[in-house]
Amino acid sequence: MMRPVMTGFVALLLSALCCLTAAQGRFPAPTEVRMADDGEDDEGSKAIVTWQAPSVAEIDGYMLGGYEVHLQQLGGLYLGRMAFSTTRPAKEWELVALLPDVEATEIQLGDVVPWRRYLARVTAVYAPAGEALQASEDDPLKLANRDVGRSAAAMSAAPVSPAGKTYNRKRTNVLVWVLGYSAIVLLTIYLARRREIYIRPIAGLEAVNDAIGRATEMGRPILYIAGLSGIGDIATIAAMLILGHLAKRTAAYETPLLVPCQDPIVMTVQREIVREAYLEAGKPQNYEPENIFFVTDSQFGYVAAVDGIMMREKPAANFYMGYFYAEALILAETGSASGAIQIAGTDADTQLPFFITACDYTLMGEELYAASAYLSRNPLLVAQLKGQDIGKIVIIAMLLLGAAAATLGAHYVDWEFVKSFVEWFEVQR
Amino acid sequence: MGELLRKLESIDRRWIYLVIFAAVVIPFLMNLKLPVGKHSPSTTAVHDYIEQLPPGSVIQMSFDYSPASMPELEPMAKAVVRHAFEENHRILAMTLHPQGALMIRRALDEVATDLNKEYGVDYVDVGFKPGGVAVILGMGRDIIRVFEDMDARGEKLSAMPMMRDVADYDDIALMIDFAANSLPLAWIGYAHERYGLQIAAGVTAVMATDLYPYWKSEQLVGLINGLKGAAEYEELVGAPGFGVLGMSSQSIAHLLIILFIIMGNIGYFVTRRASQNRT
Amino acid sequence: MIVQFFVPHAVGTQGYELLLQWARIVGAFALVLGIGSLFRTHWDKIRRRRPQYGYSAVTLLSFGLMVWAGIVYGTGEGGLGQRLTEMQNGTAFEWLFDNVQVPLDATMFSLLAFFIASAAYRTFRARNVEATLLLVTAVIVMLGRVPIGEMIYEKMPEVYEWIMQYPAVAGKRGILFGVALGSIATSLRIILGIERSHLGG
Repeated sequence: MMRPVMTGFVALLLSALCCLTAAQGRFPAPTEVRMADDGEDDEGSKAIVTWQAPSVAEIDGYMLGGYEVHLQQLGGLYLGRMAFSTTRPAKEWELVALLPDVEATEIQLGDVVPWRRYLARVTAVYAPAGEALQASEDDPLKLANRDVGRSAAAMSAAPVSPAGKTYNRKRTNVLVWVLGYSAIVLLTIYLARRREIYIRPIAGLEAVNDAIGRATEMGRPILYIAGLSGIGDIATIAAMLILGHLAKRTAAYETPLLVPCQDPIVMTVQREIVREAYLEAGKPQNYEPENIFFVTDSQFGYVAAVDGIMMREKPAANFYMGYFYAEALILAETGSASGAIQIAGTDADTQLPFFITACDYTLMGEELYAASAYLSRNPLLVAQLKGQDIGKIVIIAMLLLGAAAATLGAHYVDWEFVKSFVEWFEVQR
Repeated sequence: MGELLRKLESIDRRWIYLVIFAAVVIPFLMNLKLPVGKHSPSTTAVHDYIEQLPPGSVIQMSFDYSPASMPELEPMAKAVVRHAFEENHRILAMTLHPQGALMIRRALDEVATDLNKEYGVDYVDVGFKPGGVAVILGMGRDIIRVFEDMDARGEKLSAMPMMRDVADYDDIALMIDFAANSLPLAWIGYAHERYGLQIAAGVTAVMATDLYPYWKSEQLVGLINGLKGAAEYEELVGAPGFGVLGMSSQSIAHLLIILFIIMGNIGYFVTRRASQNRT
Repeated sequence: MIVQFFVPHAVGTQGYELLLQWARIVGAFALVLGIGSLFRTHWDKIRRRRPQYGYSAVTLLSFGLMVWAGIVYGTGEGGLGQRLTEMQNGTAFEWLFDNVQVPLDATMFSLLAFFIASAAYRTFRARNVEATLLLVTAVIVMLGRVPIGEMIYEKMPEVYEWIMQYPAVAGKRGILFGVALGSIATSLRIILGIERSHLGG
């Protein structure tokens, strides 16, 4: 009994398939489908598909209305034509674009994966004469029209693998500067093993011992704020390096050190630094992790809390090291009103004037980075400052030369090398 | 007399606070609107850039500020939104600041309702997206995907008529960052340098010095600088509001601060002369 | 970060984005540590009845209230909260945000105006030539930013613009060069292991 039913079902399916093929065959397909890597795209995530319109635009009362573009990702990973992995499987064909536009003959696809190979196929879509093709409102890849005819899919001839560029040649000048300057710093560090290097006195850092002494005499704590930036900011790292040196000294004098934090990651690292400093100073029993605590990550919530601590606990010395925003003056003025000795250090140039007005000592810009070297007097770290100085001299020389060349090139001479010299300083995309 | 002048050097700070408080509050209560004066070239540059864009251009606005800096930044944000809508441009609003989502609603929705703009057609709010630089970079490739095809109201972005024309930064005519932090530098560093997106910034006055070099080097098309910039922009679009009103308070407060500085210096010189005479 | 600057390929950018995402995930987990620290610190103060422990109680209560409003009522329209309370101005969380967080934040920020006034009064003394120059520049910038400045002297805004665009930018660039060189050098000494104190060494 089952057998005739099955046979009938298969026959029905086959006839439906035949009808579908016939229907597809009825509508002319686009020709010359080509796929290419987008040469202007450096990322390697764009490809261009082009095609020619079918020779006949109207057939059996149906007019050509637009195109559907499908993409298939083939297996393997390719660098140019060279396969360096063949294990990755191919994916199914996927509809990637619907173009309800008769004139369209090209599309840029912006979502391809570099180093994978792709094939494209384009289907011409026909709508009853007088009716325009329209994309559905809910899904731009679906047609709103119910009655449409589709041609057979025309496929691109060869697979294409978007390559992209692995190096931006226009930025060679930046690379040269970075490598050159790094070499200078490393060289000075290497040379530091041979002779001692002079480091000019920095008043703010000379005052650190006075501040600790004052706090110890008064029996009040020291407040340390490592900026309001995250762990990814080099200023925060510099501030934590200073905290390490400071904690060693406060541990020796048994002066409490309060560190309210705005970032939980910074808090965790600071706890570790202070714990280690107390251990090194031989006073691990005096280390209190509760003194390094998280307050809030809200900028002004943090400021309110720290201001409160300043007015209630009356620390003898306040340290503001790291990157600060608009809260700088609010903190420093409150600290000043509480009568604490205040030492600040920041590379946030907009906040420097506020710290200079309200604090006793201020480390400006790079002095913040130099502080760790200064406090430790480690010759290798001090040598790095020498490297920075050499870097600065080179920059000053280049500024003078560049300004002279730009002025010459703009007003007086028409020499090619002068122009190229000026252009060499530009950072291009 | 000499004693009185010497006292000028050490006025209790609480008196200063009280006078400044009065100087800020009284103009507000009196609704005093002083003329704004000449417009800064950096503010006019933003205005002119928006003017010359073809109608229907998509302007992206990132409202990267919190309630704390709202009084300074909201007036300029509202003025720029008004200008963009009046020029028939479309707005893609977003924020990289967690508290910015409510700032968008305050600055954008009111003006949009006022000018009968339709959501999804004339403006879209994609809300807050955590990730900072990752978001800026991702939007350079596919804006809808970065926001997981969902706006701040939970609706599908790809179904909105406006978003059909917005795939990546190539479809954005201008990006304006209203910020009280260093995010404009991230927008310049990643969106402008990498993808060539044109960027303008509206920032608090204290941040403006940070950004002037970028305007000079043409990495910013313009810069709206603090409450003064906001007041200028309000005048440029012919809708004087909170910016112009706030400038009156600022004018008087600045004058008073200068007065305090002069008084402090008189006290300082009198004290110095007295001590020189003694020696 | 440095790789994606020189490598325009999507692999460079996506690798960088992946690292940033990891950083976010680590940051989210670290927040748990932060909140733990907040709770321990304040709970300890309350338990031991330390001086002014009332503030700690207020902190913990406010924290609990905001968390409760956020989790139960959410921030979106049509959320559970709105259905429960039918509040006109959105959810309870939004109400707390608009009426507690916004004014508190704005209050703290506005303190700047008072502090700037008192700091300027205390500091700007014409002690020597440099201090006098600083004082005069500050006065010009303050006047240049407000309409009254223009009433006093017509070209005040232009002088202000000139100061902001040339001397200020020059000084700023000088500091920036130092900062950039310093940060590269600091990064190098951390990468090369010369500086270890941030790792507790």
